[in-house]
Amino acid sequence: MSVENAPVVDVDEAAIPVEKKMYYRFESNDKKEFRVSELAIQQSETLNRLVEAMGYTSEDVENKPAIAIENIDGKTLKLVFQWCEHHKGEAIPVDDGSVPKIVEIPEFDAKLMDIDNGLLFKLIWAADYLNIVQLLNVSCKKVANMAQGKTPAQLRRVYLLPSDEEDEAAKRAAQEAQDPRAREVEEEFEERKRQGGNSFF
Amino acid sequence: MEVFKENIVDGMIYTFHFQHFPATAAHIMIGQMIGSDICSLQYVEELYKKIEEKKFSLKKPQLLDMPPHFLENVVKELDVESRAIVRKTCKTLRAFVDHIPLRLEYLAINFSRNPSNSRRINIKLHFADIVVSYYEQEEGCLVTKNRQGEFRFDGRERFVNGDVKQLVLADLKSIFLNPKLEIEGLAITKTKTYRFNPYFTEFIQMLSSLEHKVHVERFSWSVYYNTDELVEILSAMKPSTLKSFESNSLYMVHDPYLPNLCLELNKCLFNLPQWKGAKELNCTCKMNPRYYVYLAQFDQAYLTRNMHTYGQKMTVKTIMALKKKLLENENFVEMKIFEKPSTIPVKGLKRTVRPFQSPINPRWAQFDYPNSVKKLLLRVYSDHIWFKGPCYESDEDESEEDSEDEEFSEEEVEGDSENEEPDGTDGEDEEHDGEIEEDSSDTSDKEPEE
Repeated sequence: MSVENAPVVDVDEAAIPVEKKMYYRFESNDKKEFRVSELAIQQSETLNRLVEAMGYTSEDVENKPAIAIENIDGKTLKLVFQWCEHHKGEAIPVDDGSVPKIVEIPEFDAKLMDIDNGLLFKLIWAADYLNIVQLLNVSCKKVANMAQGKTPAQLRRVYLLPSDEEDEAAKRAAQEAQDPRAREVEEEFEERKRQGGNSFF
Repeated sequence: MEVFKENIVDGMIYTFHFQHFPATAAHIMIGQMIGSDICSLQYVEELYKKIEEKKFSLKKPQLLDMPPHFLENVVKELDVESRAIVRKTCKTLRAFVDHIPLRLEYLAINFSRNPSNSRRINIKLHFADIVVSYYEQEEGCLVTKNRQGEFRFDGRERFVNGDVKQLVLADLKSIFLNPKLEIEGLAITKTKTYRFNPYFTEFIQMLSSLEHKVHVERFSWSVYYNTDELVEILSAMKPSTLKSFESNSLYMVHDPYLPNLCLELNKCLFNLPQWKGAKELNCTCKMNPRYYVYLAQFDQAYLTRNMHTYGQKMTVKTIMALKKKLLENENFVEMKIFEKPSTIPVKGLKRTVRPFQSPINPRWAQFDYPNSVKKLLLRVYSDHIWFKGPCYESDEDESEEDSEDEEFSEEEVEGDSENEEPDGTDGEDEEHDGEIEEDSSDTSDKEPEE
């Protein structure tokens, strides 16, 4: 089991009271362990509630097993906790319903999200699962920015989107898979057509 | 094609799992293929378990796998241009785009003809920060996109084959189809030169066919000749949201021999809930002064009547009828009606309102609102009439303007009958600028019925 200390853990001694300097241990689904400061955890509503409910003491966090996060792999979780540590102590934004939202991507976030689309989507999925509002906002903005200046065909390639025709074909295939009799009937119909019959019946 | 870059053994195990081989068989086959000690049976079994628990997959996460509220937020983040492009990618994203609120600060749609080839049509969509232009060409259309204010192409242009009308209307429809669309300022312009423009006609039909009414707050109309099309477009808007109407070409239906029929036709506009609900008016118009009473619901109105092309003259009676109507609007701010100087019955009006001279400012006539202490003020200038209501807030520059005019003095009114009709009569049966006035049988003496 590898232990990965949460990176960029610059703890401001003056700003954070002694009792707040507790580090929780989390484990990804591929058994990678991370130590995350209590203040950084507050960025995630899910984790914050979880640790509050657990009521761990400083000894507990060292002695008890790491908290398992079953749905997220180590590579993704590392990015998530890097983000949380960098933004610890920042206010959590409230959605005011404005469209389009005014979201700026800070330089740190831009570098953090400079990754391949597969990992980016995993990061988004993790941010959603852990309910990290601001990380979701900036990742949404990142994905939205990827659309700028592209044609629909280019966007389909970037986002791996099906065209309308592919969508229709997939829908038909799914229907056929659900109803094998329909496929048999269709094959029978095709066969009869090949044999020259004008009417199915 | 996506290349699998992760552990190749994991990929092989995943494939054997997909082909329904048991873990033991998969382990043997991997051993035969790439060496027996490459992975243990336990490793294969653990990966099988992860695959079954959906903790391991070769399938990379994609945008459409993201939770719906995330996709919704992505669409909310898109600018207008990207939104239109994303809408064309796939059904799922189209559904999001069509149902997520969109507020456009400004949208101007300009229908014109190509100056060098009048058979071809140009359409321009001006958004707050971008202009999309469609130029009809041989067997297709050139579409360009420029930043607002830039006149040279910034390289973003493409030629689209096929039916131009279909392309333009599909793009316009994709904007207006969203029932949650909100447009702060909508401007529609059609150049004066050519009356018939099939794109414009179909655009109006498309708007009328929408299942919802369009949320527009300020509407600007610059289309000559077509009051009936204005009625159709206004009907497609939400009556509760339209606050302001602006036009430099409000040409009412006019036939000097059929005044009553014209009134009925024009009432189609005046009786629209969208017209009645609007509170601000700013227009240059060809309008019979007897229709002024239909402007009294506007809290603020600025009207410039183009007398060069329309000869009906303002009368004392029409202004008094308007005053009566304005006294029904307690939220009234102000109305200014600009005319050619010679067409305002200045002296007749001054004579009529002199008994109502304001004790505070003798240049103004003052009228009481029924059962209220609120006052309506009227002042007559040589080139315009100015009404001020109870909600009017005085302007600092007003005192200077005041000094230019004189009060409703008795001396001024005496002997001023030149070019004036007696009180309460119309002077419409005259000729102005070579245009034939309404027939003497015109009902302009009668006030229009509500």
